[in-house]
Amino acid sequence: MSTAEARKKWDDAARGFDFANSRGPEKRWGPLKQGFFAPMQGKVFFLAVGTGLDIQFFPTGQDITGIDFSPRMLEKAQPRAASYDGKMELREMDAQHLDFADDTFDQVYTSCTFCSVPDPVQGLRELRRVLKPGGTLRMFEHTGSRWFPFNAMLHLMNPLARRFGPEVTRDTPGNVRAAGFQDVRVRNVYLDIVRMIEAT
Amino acid sequence: METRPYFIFGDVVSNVLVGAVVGAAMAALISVAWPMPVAMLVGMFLGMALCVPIQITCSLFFGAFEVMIPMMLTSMLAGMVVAMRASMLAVSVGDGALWGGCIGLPVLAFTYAANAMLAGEAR
Repeated sequence: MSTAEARKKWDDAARGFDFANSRGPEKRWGPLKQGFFAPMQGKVFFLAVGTGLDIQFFPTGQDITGIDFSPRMLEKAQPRAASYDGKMELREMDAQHLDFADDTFDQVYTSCTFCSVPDPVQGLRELRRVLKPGGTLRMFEHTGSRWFPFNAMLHLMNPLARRFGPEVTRDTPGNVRAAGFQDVRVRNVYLDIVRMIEAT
Repeated sequence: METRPYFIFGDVVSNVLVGAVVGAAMAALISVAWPMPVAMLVGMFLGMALCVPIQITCSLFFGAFEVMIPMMLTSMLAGMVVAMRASMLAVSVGDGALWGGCIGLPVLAFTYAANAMLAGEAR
């Protein structure tokens, strides 16, 4: 899927995104995400903002730059960013071609993002480029599974899932390593499908 | 491991519901005239297809992958098992729903156990 097609897909999804995600999924993952975002410090880059549902879990008083490649998603995120108790700037940008100088950010956070970036390794290389030396990448992502029957099911579901939303079979920890991150630590949140990844 | 009663209740209801719906549908569709392997294949794939709208609805209230994965597994297994039984002997819609609903519980237990086993640091 090209970037333009992916952008259109997520623009189309923006209208119903909060309806689908703001209750069950966000409530179930809420406490985990609060802990996941808690170590935010320094100049923070958040990719991709979506409709801004995750902003409620950010610790207050941070300096955060958020991007998304879907203008419709960003429209929905604006009020949430405006009410954040800290500094938060939103910009429309493609993860695969970031408009930031090298070594800009102390930390990069992603949340269910690299299931949707058309070229995930290129996107992760960009994150590595904009991270300061010694900076940390922290990801809350769903990935494919290594275990039967979950891997078989995800492969069966993927053609439908990728048509209307995210891919469900990606090897995101492998992509992080392929992008050049050296120290990659993975913690399973649900099975080996929902995972927290930390890399430097 | 999920410990919040609301979400545990949601997991149980989602799996029993999808199993019962798929089981009832298979009991209504499959008869002893069907060859068993064909019935089982139809049961598996039709079960998955029937699962999608129920899964989307349950996901709104109870979560994403934690709901989707066991429900999909339940629907495939309930579809196969009830279709297999219905190809061997007449199964009423009520019995199909009961069988399907009952299959949801061990499938959910299996995913909880797998989740406990896989939790924590990984590669």
